Amino acid sequence: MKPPPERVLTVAAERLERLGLGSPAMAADLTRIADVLRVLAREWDAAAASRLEAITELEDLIDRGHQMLPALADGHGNETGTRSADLRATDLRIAALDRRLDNLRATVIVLEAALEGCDFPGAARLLDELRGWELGDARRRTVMDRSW
Amino acid sequence: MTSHYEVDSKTEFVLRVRGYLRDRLAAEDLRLQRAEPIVGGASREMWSVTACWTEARGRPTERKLILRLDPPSSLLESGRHTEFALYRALSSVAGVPVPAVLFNEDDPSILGMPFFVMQHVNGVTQPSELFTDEFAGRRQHLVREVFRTLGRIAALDWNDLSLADHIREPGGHPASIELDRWERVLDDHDLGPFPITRSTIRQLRRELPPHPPRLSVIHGDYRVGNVLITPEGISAVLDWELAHLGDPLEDLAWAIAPNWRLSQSPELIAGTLEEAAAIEAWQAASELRVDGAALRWWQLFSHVKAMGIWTAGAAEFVRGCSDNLVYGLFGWRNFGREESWMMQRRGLGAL
Repeated sequence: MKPPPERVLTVAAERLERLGLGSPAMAADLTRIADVLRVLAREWDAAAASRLEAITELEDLIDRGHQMLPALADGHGNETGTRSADLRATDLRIAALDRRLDNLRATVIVLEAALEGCDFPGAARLLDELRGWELGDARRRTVMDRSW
Repeated sequence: MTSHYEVDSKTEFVLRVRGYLRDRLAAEDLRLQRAEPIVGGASREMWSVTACWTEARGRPTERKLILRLDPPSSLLESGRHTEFALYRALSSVAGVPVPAVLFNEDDPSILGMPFFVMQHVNGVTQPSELFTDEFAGRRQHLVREVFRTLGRIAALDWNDLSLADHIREPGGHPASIELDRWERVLDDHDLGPFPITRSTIRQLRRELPPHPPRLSVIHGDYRVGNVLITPEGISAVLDWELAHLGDPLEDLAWAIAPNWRLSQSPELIAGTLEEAAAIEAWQAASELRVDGAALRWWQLFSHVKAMGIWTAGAAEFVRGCSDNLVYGLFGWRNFGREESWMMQRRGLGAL
């Protein structure tokens, strides 16, 4: 069995911190590098799955928005590209998933601005759901909490 | 790109500093007893040096100086001239202590980047440093004094400060101008779409606060971390590079923002003072009354401004213009947290 990357990264972080001698500037740098390794160790396993989950949720919300405001779908229909259900292996690289999520977030900005000035039935509810998703997304992106 | 405190460049840098100070202070035997980079301060590199030399009448002299450098890549556009001018202008103002400044140099060939030199001032800046025996029994008073000092800044008559070349009256509604400014920073350092920040900007634009009763000098980054504190009181207000004229509530909202609080006591400013007590101290010193709705607007704005600052730093790192890991970590630590605070302030969710 290969050493699990999480374990390797965690040990590397601990070793680095034990090196934290020398000037305050060097010690601060070492602490930061150890922080980076710890975050990578924690995020490693779920990195693709959590992004894919976010993409699927957001695609559903955007679909509902575009059904409500078809003019927006005409203008931005191709931004999200292939549906998450049809992704190929290369689409599952973290950078590709992040690009896809960013495209969806850009679509959300346009959709929300339109929904804010819209009194269609269901618009306020969809806006609430989008904001609920965004809050979850903000928490998900905060991979280092306040104690770091 | 390497940082200037890395070992291979340190010797060369220190030699240049010594040569420069020797010339400017006309001190032929000047030597540097100590030269160390200061840890902290994400937007600038700073060095603390102790220079020793013999004065004309044979008197040995020792001075602790601070060099504040514009790195090739900085978190924010350099406001070095503004900062230098503010230090000069405030040096004679009672109740707003600042370090004495000596020289301001634009020529990057001297030290590899433009810089200015100021006098070292004693004190601590980090809230956690207030929890030592030295400050026991004084913390409440000192943190309140931080807000009284900010109130005195708000009360200054900027016309008396001869700063016309550096800070000008905003040509419109101060809140609208600042919102435009920080939205531009976000646009200019595009790191991807931020739906929460963009909808917050739209809301702020719809709900602008009233025009302030008077324009004040705004520090732009006033908080406990940018004030030097000793057990005796506030010894200096630092980091004026974002100074401008505007609504005094801008500084107050920024100073009480959750960003600068200790994680173990997020309800207190510097782990010490209730928000209401801070506002009261500010009101007493500024002789201004806080409009609650306007303050809430500026508090929400503060998170947009912070996003602008984090984004500018992170963009430098992403583009390879900086290898400062602090900038690199903004995306992992600050973006989501800042947007969660925006949602919380808008009543749309809690962190």
